[in-house]
Amino acid sequence: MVRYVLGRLVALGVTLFIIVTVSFVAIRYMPGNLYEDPHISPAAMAAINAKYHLDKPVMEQFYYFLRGIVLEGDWGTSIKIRPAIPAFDILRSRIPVSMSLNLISLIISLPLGVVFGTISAMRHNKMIDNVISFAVVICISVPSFVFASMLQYYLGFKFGWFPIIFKASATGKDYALAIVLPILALAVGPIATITRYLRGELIETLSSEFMLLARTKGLTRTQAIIRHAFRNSMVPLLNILVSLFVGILGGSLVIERIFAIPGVGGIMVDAINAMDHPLTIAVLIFYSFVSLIAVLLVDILLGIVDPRIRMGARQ
Amino acid sequence: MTRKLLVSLLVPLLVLSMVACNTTPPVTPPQPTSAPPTTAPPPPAQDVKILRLADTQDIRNVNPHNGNWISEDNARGYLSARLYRATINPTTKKQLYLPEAAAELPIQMDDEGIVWRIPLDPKMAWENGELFTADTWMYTFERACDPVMVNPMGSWVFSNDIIILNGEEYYLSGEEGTDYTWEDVGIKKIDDYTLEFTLAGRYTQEEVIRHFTGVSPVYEPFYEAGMNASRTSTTYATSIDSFMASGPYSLEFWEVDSERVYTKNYLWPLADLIKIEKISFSIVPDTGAMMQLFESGELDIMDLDAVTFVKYEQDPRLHTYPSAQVGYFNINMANPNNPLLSNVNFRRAISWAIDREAMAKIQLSSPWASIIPGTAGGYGGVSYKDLPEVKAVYPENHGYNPDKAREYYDLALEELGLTTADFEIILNEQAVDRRNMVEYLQNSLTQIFGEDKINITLKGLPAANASTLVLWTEGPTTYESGVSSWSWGSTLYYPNLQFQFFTPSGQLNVTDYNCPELDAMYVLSRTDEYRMDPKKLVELTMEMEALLRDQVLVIPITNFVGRMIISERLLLPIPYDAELGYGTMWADIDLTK
Repeated sequence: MVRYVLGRLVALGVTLFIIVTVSFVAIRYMPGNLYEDPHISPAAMAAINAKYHLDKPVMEQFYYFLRGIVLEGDWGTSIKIRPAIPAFDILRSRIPVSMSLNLISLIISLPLGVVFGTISAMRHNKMIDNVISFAVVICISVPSFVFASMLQYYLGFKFGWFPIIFKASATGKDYALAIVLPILALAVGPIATITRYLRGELIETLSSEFMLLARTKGLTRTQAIIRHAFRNSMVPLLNILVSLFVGILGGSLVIERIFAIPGVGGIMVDAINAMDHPLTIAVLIFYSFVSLIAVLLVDILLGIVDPRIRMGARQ
Repeated sequence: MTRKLLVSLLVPLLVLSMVACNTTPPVTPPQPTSAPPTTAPPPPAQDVKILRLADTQDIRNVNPHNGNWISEDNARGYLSARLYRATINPTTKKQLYLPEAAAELPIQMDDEGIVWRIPLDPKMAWENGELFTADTWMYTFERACDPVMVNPMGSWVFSNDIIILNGEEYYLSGEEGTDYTWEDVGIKKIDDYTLEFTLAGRYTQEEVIRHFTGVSPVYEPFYEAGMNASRTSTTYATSIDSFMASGPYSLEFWEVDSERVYTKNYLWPLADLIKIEKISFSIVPDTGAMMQLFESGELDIMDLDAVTFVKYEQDPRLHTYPSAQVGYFNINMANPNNPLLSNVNFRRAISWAIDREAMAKIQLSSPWASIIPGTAGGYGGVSYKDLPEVKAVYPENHGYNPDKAREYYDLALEELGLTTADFEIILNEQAVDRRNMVEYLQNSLTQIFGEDKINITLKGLPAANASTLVLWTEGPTTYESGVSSWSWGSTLYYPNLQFQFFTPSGQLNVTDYNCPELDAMYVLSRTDEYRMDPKKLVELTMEMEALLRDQVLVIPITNFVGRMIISERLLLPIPYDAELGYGTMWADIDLTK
């Protein structure tokens, strides 16, 4: 198991380095200049560019960037979005909000998806199954930002049940109400995805012979499902957790803007638009790192749930 | 096993998420310690007058040396002191300059108006009660001009309405240094409460005052605390903890990219003039959400763009005002890859072929064929555009004449030996109105010159990329043509300053428009002789405009119109004024609405 985890960690490091290199070079070769301001004289602009090594060749800039990360833990300094602030500090201030929204959405999605998926599978081809399946199709087809806008318009603006936007100064009940809509918007898609996967898996498992054996041994239908069917359906469900989490991360880029949440998503969009390359690269590294960690965790979980996977990896 | 594993993973994650979700609690700013309040204490909470504002993007800092966005200058206006403050004359409702951190108006020390002294108010204090001295300002000015920090806003200190002797020379002397040192810069401390400025030319008292209405102080302990090891930058005023207010308001709360709350600063010398107790700024990137906030009464002012304006076109709460922003079509005549662009007859053809009325309708702006914005000043109380001599030369039909365009176009093709003209227009994909304008331009030019004779390619780019290419920061080949817009507030007093975007000697030269004749005229227009004689300045500006128009160095197309919707509870002190805007800082709130 240790060797398996170490192997995955090395792969993670190599992948991350490749992503960083490609991101840095690609972003630096984008048209336009990092530092420009029509209200600054060309001579002053040249001096500012020199200050940030922007007058050097791209590979030399990459050397400075890597040297900064390795020797000083310096991810670079934001040039436009938050001038003079280290990119890592900006990220650090944004990660808690973004990650908490994403994780809460995922954590809510899991039990709800499991419940709906189970009900749907147990009532296969009945009225409730048809209703859930129809809702699942709608929720998977419609992007999360459409749900977000609808929730904001109806529940926030029209009915006034929730704040229209997130307010950082809100505390207690106000704060709880402010995060309901974005979490709902983020969770709708994953709930539908989990429901669909679990329903499919459970329907297949329920009709298998070992379930019949379990029932003939005297287990109730519910006991058989919980003790045997779920365990068999868990492997494919774990596999989709990574894509779900990455999907929520991607979705939150837009959701954060709609609800004015000061998270990583907003800074990512702003950094790209403003050509704040150091910050863009830092955010890209963050997203890559989080996604790779999610992959690693699922790989480890799969290794625990299904030992054949880690044995296969060893062979 | 699986159930235990899931539970053991999910429970800590949920707990961690809920804990992490709570963002930084509000930080209480330092309380006044020494200087006494100048007015009555704050009223009870239920009667607090709160102005609720929103913007799509937060300010990056309140550092007067670093924040060069208009929104950042606005924030400094609320939170930082100035030597002089532009207020409203209660009788005339026009602009009135009052000493703020200064004790009195600038004193001319010589016959020419080159040396000026500013006495300082010894009672002026930071929000923590600590008093200002001349050293406060000397530190501020020295850091602004610092050649190692190369602060983007340095020029606002040494070269704006006035030019301070050797300020720019010292600022650009680099890390290694040159012959210029801080001692050579024309800023001196005479005593603890007197500053002396030696200028690079003759200036009037009004120009000196106006210059110092735009300069704010920095708080040395926080500035130094935020300085990096190489002393190239500081994190001063990038958060509530690293900023000290001294203006009409204090910063009560600031969660970057989410919310700012200002509260009235009773230590501020002109606090009696301020009626609004609190200002709440929300950062709302989504304009749809912003409209919902306004509709639900949670916002008092909302800027409208060409898209959101449609909803409020007939609304009595709509306010429109003239803008100093002029939209241009740029043809990069220095691009060596396409000789067409350097042909003056081709540029004339394009200029005559642009239907500015149609372009303005798309942008909801005014059709405009002048380099100079409609807000620019003239002389004798008449604006530049309204002067009879200026009106007499303004092109008929806003410079739209398809027949003339075709004549020039055929001439250009003949000169170049071409049968078809090919060129590219870059466009900002994120600005709907600009994109529509460029697409309209592509169609209309094709119709005028014929499909077989012109081939225009559009290249969409994100906003920052499109604008930086037009700025031509990476050499002459980066773009062929595109739209841009430029404004400079001081054109309100000096119309010639708009040319600084288009001449190598202009401080803000955005593209290498190399026309030596125009450049020489621009340099002449900046001399005392012209600057201090408005009529003479207008005459020279007109000559410059005629030359630029003839050579088509840039093609003006629209003059922007500002639009905002203002709630009825906000009682504005004046109708729109070119110098003061709506005077929002001096407004009141009707608590009954």
